[in-house]
Amino acid sequence: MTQDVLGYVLGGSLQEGLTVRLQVPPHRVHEGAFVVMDAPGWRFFGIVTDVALRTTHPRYVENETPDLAPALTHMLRQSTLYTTATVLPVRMMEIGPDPEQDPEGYQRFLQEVDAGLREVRPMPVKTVPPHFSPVRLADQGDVDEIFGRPTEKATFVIGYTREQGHAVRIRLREFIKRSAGVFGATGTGKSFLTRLLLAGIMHHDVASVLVFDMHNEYAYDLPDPDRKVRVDGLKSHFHSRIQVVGLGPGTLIQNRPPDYHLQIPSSEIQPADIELLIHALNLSETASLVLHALYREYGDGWFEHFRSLEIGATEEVEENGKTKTVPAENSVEAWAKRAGIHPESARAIHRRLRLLFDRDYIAPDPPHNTLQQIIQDLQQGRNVILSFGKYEADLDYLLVTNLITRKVREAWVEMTERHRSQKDQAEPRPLVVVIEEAHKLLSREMAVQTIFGTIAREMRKYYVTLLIVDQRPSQIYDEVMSQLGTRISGWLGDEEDIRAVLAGLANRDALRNMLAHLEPREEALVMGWGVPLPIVVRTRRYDETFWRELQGARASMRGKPEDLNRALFG
Amino acid sequence: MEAVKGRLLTSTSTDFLVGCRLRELAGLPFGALVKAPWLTDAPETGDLYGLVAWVRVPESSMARQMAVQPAPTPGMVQDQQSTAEPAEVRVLVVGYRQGRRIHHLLSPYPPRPLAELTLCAPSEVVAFTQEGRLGYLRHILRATDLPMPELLAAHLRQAHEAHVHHGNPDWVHAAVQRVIHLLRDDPPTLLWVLDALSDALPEALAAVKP
Repeated sequence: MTQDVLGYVLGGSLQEGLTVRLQVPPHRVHEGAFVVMDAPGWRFFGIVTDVALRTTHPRYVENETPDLAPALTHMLRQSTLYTTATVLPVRMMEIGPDPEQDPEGYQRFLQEVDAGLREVRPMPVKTVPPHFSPVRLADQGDVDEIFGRPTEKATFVIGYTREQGHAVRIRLREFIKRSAGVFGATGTGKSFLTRLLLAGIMHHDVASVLVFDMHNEYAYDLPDPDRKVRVDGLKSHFHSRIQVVGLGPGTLIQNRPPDYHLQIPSSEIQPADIELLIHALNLSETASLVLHALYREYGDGWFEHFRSLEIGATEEVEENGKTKTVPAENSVEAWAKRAGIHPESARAIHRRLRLLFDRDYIAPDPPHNTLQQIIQDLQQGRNVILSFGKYEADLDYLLVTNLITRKVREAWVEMTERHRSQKDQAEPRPLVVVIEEAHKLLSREMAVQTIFGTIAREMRKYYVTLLIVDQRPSQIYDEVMSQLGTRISGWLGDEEDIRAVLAGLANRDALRNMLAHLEPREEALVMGWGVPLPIVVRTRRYDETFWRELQGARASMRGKPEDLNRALFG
Repeated sequence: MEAVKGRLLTSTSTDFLVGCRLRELAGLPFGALVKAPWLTDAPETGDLYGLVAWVRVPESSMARQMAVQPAPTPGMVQDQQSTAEPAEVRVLVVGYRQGRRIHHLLSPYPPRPLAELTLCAPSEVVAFTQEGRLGYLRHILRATDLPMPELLAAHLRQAHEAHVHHGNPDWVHAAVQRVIHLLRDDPPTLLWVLDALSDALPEALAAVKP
C-alpha cells in the first residue's frame, strides 16, 4: 500500500459502523471523508461518520495528574490519549490475492475475471473487514472506481473530495433515471450547482431538459453580485441546442429577446389547472362546482366563454306588456341561472379569474402554437428554458408549469405507449423537467393535485423525471421526497429541512451530521440512488474554467471567429 | 578484574541476597546494575543481572553504645565500619547473560553458592539496557514489595548517564515510553512513577522537545 495509513480497524459492525484507531492527528480525517480498507481478497469502501477523542483511562484526562515535566506529559499523552473514527462501510469489491505474496493466485484471479467467471465491481457491503485492516483515504483511482471513470461515457465531475481534491463524477444516465433534487439554504449555491448539472446533461446529451426559470437566470449571462463577475448563461454555450422561451408576447429576458414567445391557447386550460390556484386566487370551496359547470357547458372553450361574460350586464325585455330588466344573455348571472349555480358564487369566481383573463400569455387563438412548439423542441432533442419574464407571481408559476408539464407528459406517455406497442417506434428521449421553488408545486396539498407529484412517483416509467430545486425541502410532500433518487444538498440550517432531505435513505443519523456540518458555500452532500455511496464534495465552480474543461477548445474560442477558423482550417 | 562487592547468601527465582562489608556499600548505589555468576553444569558461562533494590545495615551492641556518645571519634566510627557483621543487599533479578547473549528474562539457573557480586561497568550497563525491547523493565515494574518508583528512577538516572557517556542521550526517552506503555492501564502507579522520574531526570527530560 503506497498511501498513508490513517489507522486500523479495531471493531464495529455493519449497523453501527467500524471503529478505526487513528494513527494521524484528528485534523487529517474529516467527517464525510471517503476511505478505503483493504482486507485479504477484498477492498471495502466507506465514509467517516464520526471522529472521537479517547483515552485508555479517564484518569489521564482529569486534572488530578501531578506536575510532571512537560516532556513526560507529552509522552504520557502520546501513549494514553488517542483518536478513533467511525467508518460506515458502504461498498465492497473483490480484488483477488495479493500479487506480491501470491502471484500465481493473482494471475488465476485475473484469468477468471477475463473469462467472466468472476464479476469485479463495487457491490453493496455485506460483511466487514477483519480486525487491524489498514484504513486510508481514497485515492483518485478509488473515487473513479466507485463514482465513474473519466473514460466512461456520460460521466460528469460534480466536485472534488474535501481532503485530497479528487474529482468525483456522477453517472448522468443513472442520475436522470429517477427524479432528483438540489437543496440548500439561500446563498449556498443551489442555482450554480443546478446550472452545472444542466450543462453536464446537455453537453453529454443524455436527455432533453425543460427548465421552468422563474427568476430568469438560466438562459442568458447575468452578473453575480457575490463574486462581482458576469456569469455565463447556458444559452451562451449551447446556442441553438437551447430554445429560450419567454412567457407572453414581447417579453424580454435580461433585456434580450427569447427565441420565441409562449402564448397558451385558452382552450388548453382545464378546471383542474384553476383548482390548483385555489390559494393564489383566494377561491372559495364552491369554486370547483362553478368551474366544472362551465366545463360541462362549454367544454374546452369554457375559459374563453367565461371571460366573455360580464358581471351585472342586464337587458330589458317585454313581458306581459311590461318592460322588465333581467340579466343579459352575456352576463355571468344569466349563465349561473341556466347552470343552476348561485349567482354570487359565479360572480366571485369571475372576479377572481380576472387576474388570469388579463394575462397576455393566455390567448383564445394565438398566431403560433408555441405550446406545441415546446413539445416538439423537446422531442427533437433540444432543450427549453421557459423564462417567466415579468410574471414572477406564484399564480403564473403554478398555472404555467403545471399546464405545460401536463401537456409534455401526455406527449411522452403517448410516445411510450407507441414504443411499447409498435416495434418500429423508437424509445422516447428521456426528459428532465427542472422546477425551482419546488415546494410551491410539491407541498403536501399541491403534490396530489399537480402533475409533478405523479411524475415523481412514476420514476422513469414514461421517461420523464424531475429535477427539483428548493431551499425548504421540509415543505415538500414526504412521499415525493422519499421517491427522489439522487439528492444533492448544500448547507441547511433548519433541522426539519435536514430531516426532509434524508427521508427514505439508509443511515440517516450519520448523514444528518454530515449535512449539518457542511460549509455554508461550495460544499454539498451527494447521496441517494444515483451515487454508489454518499459523499461530501467541494462543488465545482461555475466559471470559465468549468466551461473550458467541459467543452474543451470550443468554449475558449467562443466569440473569436479567427480562432475558430484557425482551429478548423489550420 | 572487577572488584568483588559481596557474596551470595540466599536466592529465589526473582531476587537474591548478598552479604558484604559495610564499606562496600559505598560502591553499590541504590538502583545500580550488578551481576553474579550462575550455577550450572553447562559449558557456557553465565551471569544473573540485577538491580540493587534494598540494603540492610546490621545492628551491633557497640553501635548502640556509640550512638548515644556526644561525639564519637573518627577512630570509633572506622572501627565500627570494619566490623565483621555483614550488610545485606537485596538484588532484584532483571535478566541474565548466557555466553555472549543477554536475555531480559528470569535466569534459568540460580546464582552459585557464595557467588561473587560485582558492579557492572558503564559499558556493560549500556550493553544490557539497550538489548531487545527494554523487556527487563517489567521485572522492576512488578516488584510491588519494593519502593518501585524510586528504584526505577534511580536505575534510569544511572543508566541514562552511562548511555550519555556512550553517545546515546535519547535512550532514556525510549525507556520512559516503554514504562508508560507497560503501566498505562494502571494510572495511579504510572503517575507515581512519572512523578519520581520528573525528580530523577530533570535535565534529560528538559532536552526532549514535546
